[in-house]
Amino acid sequence: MNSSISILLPALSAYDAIGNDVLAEYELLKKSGLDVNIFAEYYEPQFSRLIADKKRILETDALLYHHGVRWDFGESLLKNSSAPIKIMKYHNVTPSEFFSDYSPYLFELVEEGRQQTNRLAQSCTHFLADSVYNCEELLELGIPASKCKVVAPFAQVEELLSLQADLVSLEKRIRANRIHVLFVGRQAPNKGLHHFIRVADAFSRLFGKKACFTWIGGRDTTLVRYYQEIEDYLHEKSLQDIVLFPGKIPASHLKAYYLSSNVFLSVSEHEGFCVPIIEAQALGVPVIALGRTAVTGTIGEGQLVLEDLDYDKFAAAIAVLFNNPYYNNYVSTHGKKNYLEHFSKEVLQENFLKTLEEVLMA
Amino acid sequence: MAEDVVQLIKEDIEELLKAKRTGKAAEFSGPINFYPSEEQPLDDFSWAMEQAAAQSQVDISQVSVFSRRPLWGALATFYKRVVRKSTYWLLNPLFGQISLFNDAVLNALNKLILKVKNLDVRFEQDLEPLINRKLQERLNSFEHLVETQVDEKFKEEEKRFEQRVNRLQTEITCLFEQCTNKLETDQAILDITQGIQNVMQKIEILRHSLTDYRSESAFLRAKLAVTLQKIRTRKLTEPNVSEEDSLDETLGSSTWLYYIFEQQFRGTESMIKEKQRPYLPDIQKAFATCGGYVLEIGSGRGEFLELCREANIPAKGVDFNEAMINRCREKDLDVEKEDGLVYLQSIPDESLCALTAFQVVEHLTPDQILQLVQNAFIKLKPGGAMILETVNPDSLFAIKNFYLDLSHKRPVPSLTLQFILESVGLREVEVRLSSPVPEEMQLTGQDEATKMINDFLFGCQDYAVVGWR
Repeated sequence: MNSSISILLPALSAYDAIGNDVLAEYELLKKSGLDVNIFAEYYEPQFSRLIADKKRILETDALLYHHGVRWDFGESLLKNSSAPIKIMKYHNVTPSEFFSDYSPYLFELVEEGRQQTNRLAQSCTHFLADSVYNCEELLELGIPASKCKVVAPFAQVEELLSLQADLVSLEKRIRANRIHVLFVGRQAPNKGLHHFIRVADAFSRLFGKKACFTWIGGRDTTLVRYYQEIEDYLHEKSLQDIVLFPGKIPASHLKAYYLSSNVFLSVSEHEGFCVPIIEAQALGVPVIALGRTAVTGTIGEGQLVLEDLDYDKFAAAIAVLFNNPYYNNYVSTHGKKNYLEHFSKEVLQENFLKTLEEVLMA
Repeated sequence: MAEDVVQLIKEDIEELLKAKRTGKAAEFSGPINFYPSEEQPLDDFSWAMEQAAAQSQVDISQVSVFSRRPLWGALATFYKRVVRKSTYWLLNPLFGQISLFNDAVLNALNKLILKVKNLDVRFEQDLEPLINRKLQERLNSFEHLVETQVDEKFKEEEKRFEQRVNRLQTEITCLFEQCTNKLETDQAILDITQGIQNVMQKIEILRHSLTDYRSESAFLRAKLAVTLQKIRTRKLTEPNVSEEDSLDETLGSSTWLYYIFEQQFRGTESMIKEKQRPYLPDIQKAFATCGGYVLEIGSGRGEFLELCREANIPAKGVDFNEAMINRCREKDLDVEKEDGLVYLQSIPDESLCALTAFQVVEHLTPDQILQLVQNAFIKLKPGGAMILETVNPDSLFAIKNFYLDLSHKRPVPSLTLQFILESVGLREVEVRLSSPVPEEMQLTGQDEATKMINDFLFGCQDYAVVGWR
């Protein structure tokens, strides 16, 4: 491979799934000897040295466009470029119905994002999807199967593994002597926060207030009504001391939360990939998940995937996994195996380079 | 295999749920036993004994003498048979003895196994109930003993307790009498002082908590104010800056003129850099505490951005003057042509370690100053710093030069600016004076009156308010 390639994304920032993917791709392609550039309309100042000029972008042989949100400027760049190869990396756009009751702004944004997916499908020549689920969505738009490949996104799991966990948080949580149930992700309706708190309620009702349900992740300023509903429910059921929201936290604290958790619980209804599941598996935390969208593919074999949104059943699943060391060990061992076999850095790098080479050589 | 175990887990979940829902949780059988039973070792041993018995007999006639070699095969077989037959009388008694020994050992082991099994059965039948009975008896007698002793002890203690209560009551009565009589004795004062100290300690702890809550509430209040402002103006992503008041209008309309004006009246770049250097330790402290980067509103010719670069602190500048932007880009500094407030609102909350604005607030309306401080506050990380430098209206010398710059709106007194920062929620806000008037320009004399006049006429020309999130 000796061509030049430009990676396009709307915003480049730290601790962002698409940002992490782009930075890893950039480092890998550069190491492989390719002339590679990044273009982002918005970026944090520390990345300014990586950002190439718009003119330079338009001259490259291939474009790798990351699509996860509406981006008008990116679409115009794609149209104006004469590059023979235009690849879309599809991270998925959340369906608008999740926001219809809560935020007209987000509703409109994702609705337009989905419309843009249709247009981008016409202007791109090749497609990479984070998961089989994302790939199926693209195939439904009429893209030929030969043009669409599944390439999982790069995450910073190895960095998390090598990082020193924050000992104060770790000790505090272990000393609490409770069953720790964890989820990591934005606090949004599609991620199933309202289901998460209902599982917490079911658990408290069936097994007593022995568990602590922690949701790590930031809030969206436009989803005020949703958060009010969440707060009201917690207040009504007296769950304020059972369900905790530490917000966005540094990586060392995040590792402490993972290490001290007994179960990673995902009741998300829409995911394009779900990196936190891989993080939990890599750190040996057994995962219980609702089998919807891309989660079923990401989680791998030998994992506890429940198909129905039965809150009591999720609560019982937590109790069974916690009380039976054999099951616990079985699920976490298979989770780790899933990470090592399918999502470790080496495997992802090999898959990405192989797929890209096929596209560029075609 | 994978699906089998997952299926088992799911069945256990159903079983547990059923038990919980019917109120018979104890009936839940729980984990499955994946380990060998207790009988297993003895059974394994019996199997090993059988294997040993099959191999225990040693007989020379079992040694094979057959050879499959071509030509030599028949001859070799014949030779071996001769050797076996000729040594039979010598070796067979020895092998017989070995077989006998093997049998004896096997016999002994079999007896041992039988003994162990019998013991096991006896233990289950006789000894276990016996031990249990004995244990129960011992436990009962122990319980009885403990009960009697506890009872006695309890009665004794009760008696002693009553005596002590009576004694204490008497003492308290005496003390009460003493206290009423000698309320102002040293002991009473000491007790009260101790009490006050304890209360003071508690107040101190509460004060710390209060400071934390205040800080949190200040952040939320500022965020709410900004959000309300957005809702009022019905603009979600744009700030409330009217066209005629925007920074663009005041500073950007005559970019070359303002650039030349700065060159002539503000001073050389190296001079400004030296004037701004004293603020660098604050920035270094903020960066070491919370990371992130520095944002400078109205970065001008980039003197402060250069200082940050020299100290290895990431920094970004925003200015609306094209000539200033070009000058910064010549120095390869990270700057953007944008209205400061618009840019500030566009960045994520809690992303800055410091926000600086040198000689900017005097160009703004009171509303804009408040908006700038509120927005900057919510963009700062906890531990971050805000530095706003402007002309000092307490110095008549500075005021005389104030309107040299036609884009200046009004001087802002230090007390006002300090008040705004504190009211938004910044902590440890202090005013720092800078740019003193050269002594040769001041009145000479050491008397008090000359000093007062000098302070009034020739006080420091600039001041900065420095506050912390």
